[in-house]
Amino acid sequence: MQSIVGTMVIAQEGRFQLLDRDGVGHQFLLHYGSAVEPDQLPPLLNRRVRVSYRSAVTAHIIGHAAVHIDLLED
Amino acid sequence: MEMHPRVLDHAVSDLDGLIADEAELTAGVRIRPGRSYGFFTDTTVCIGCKACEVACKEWNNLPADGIGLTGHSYDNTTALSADSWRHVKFIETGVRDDMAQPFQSGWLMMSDVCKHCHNAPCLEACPTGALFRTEFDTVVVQQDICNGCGYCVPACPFGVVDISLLDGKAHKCTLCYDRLKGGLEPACAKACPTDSIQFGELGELQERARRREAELHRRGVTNAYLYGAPGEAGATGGLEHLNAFFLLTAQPETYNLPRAPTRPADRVAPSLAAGIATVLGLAVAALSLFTRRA
Repeated sequence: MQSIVGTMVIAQEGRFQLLDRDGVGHQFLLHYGSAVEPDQLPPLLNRRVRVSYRSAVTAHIIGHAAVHIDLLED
Repeated sequence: MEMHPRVLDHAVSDLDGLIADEAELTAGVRIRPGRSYGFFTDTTVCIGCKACEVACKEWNNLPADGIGLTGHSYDNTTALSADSWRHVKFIETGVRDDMAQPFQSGWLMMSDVCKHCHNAPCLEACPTGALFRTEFDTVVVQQDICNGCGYCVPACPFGVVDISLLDGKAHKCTLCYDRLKGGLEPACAKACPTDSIQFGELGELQERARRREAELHRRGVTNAYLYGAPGEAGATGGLEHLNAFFLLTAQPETYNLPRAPTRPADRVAPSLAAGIATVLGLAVAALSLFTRRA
């Protein structure tokens, strides 16, 4: 499983966008096996988090499935 | 860890808050709970720019898909899916009619979307109540309740609902439920540069569509007709009417739309009756067989 550190800038239902330190946006959906619920995402907005994720199961989607989200110290 | 300054660009809106009843400025309609809202898509003015697709993806934060060329003309989205809630169809109508002016294209373009049926089969099939009808008479999937059973997928006569391979849940157009609650016009309709996608109160939209159909007939486009308006094609089989309806200029099948969609729920009673009749028939046959042997 891969991981990435960034700032959560958009959260909507089970989807969120992370900006990495280079300002590049990454799209995520909560993985079906994730313990994180959609309503736990809004409090993480504008916070720095580490997301452990699996890449999209099909090659034609630019998105990842987030499995774990850890809040980092600001 | 040092973060790139761009990370904090526009992290907070420059506005103090939402513009009250913004849809009144952009679509001429004030959004109020308890009323029916929908889309009227006039395909005769669609230019295939895909602004609606992009606006939908941007607002709803949906992952990009359909990367690469499919070989199907300019259509790389190919179909509505869990990640594409708007899909602009590019339909090549073959060799250009000799009577057509040189500047007239041989293309039909249509921005497809969830129809938000009046009697929605997906909603009827959902066992968890994740699919519900909102106060704006639209049909929405609640992501925290959906268990990904997929019953809604075959129930939809238009092939709209889809299960995401990323999160295993059903997704479809929400008619921008969150925007409606904030008094905003749906993103796709707001982005449409030709007003091919029109948002509004359903009764007013249906009247507007009938006027447009009559105007096109008067101007010689006699094949223009409404799909999904009450009493028209697409509003059959107990669906009554579609909250997202269309003005088309070719047969529904040309746009990959069913001519006479039906509700699967209407087939439950005949199927049940056929099943019971079969069981009874087999029981009578078995009984007569055993009685004869005895």
